[in-house]
Amino acid sequence: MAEGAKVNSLDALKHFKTYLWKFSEAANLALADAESEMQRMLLWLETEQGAYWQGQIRKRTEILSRANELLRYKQIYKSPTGSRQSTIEEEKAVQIAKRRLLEAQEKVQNVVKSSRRLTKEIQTYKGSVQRFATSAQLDVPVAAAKLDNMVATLEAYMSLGATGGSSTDAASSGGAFTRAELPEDRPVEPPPPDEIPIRGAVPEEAATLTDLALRSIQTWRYSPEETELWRPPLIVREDYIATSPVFVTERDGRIIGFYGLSGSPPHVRLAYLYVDPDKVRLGLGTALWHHAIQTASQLGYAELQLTSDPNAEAFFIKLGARRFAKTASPLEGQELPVLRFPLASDK
Amino acid sequence: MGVFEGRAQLGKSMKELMLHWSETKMSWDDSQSKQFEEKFLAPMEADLRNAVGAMDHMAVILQQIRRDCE
Repeated sequence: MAEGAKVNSLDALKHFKTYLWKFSEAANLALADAESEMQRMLLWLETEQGAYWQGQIRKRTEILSRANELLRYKQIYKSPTGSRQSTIEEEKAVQIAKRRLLEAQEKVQNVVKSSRRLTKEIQTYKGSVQRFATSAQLDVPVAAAKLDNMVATLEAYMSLGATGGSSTDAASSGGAFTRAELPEDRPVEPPPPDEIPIRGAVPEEAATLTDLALRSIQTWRYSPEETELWRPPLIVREDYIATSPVFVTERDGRIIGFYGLSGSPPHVRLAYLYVDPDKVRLGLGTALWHHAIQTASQLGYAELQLTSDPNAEAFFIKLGARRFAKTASPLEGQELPVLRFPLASDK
Repeated sequence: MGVFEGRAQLGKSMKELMLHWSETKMSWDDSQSKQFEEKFLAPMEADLRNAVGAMDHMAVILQQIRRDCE
């Protein structure tokens, strides 16, 4: 490790992690409420206001018609004294009725135009906030997991008695921690290598991820026909990425591995974990696995389950997963191992 | 809470997050904390600014539509 960690208070890290979660919740709520108001406005336009102003056109047309009749009556008939009647009031009423009818007609046009405009604006808005929404929804759990990992590492170091105390506050022992000083055999899960950057996927990457998954299974030397049979369960949909934790790792701007989770508590399924066939044995699969475990733990799941390719089972077993069932494969005569991995949920 | 309030809430939450981060940095000062700030907090803050800008824009649009169609 190139440089040690310098932490003077583990409590500060723990508090910040707690606030990160609060921030994530507040951000998600704010985004959801904002979008909800937009949708309500669209519904208001398309249902209530359209009908309301159409009704107003009918009513105001009748009022104008009546006002015109009154005016005509006054113009035709003379007063009981035989003189010409004043039509000033009736003319005013006709002008007002015309203005009100015109207003209703303009409102109907406004409703139609506004409805179209709002639909487009909502789409643009969604695109603009997508990155932040992904960050608040997916990156925050990962960041919190990293902080947790660091706190766990430092606490484990403290429990070894290296500083002669059990306080989680390094300041109380009078110094900073150095991760490089940790004994090599201490039983703390290592964090994913920092050299392997992992970020949340965006829906536009769905086709790239499907392609990567299909290329990845070529490692197992499936024939083109067999690969086609595998295609349906390997398709990554845009809506799946938009609503589920999906993370990618990339190099030189090219995605070279990814994983995706799905399911509902208490079990989460590792729906995908694929690495570019040209980039195997570089630790990408292991880094993605650790990242998936951290994410699932942070999201409060108790157990991670996965259906593995038979050729990849040994990899997952090495990482601590255990087989507990078998399931049918898209290929005739092949069975797929179903594995599970217990999670230490901390949510 | 609607767009206007959501925008205010986001701005307030981010301000508080950065305030908490300033306090945390006083206790955590190494390459990892710098990396955490550069790779996670700073990009998220930039994304949030974009989101807030989009919400500002939508707040104006919604107000205008309400005025035009009410």
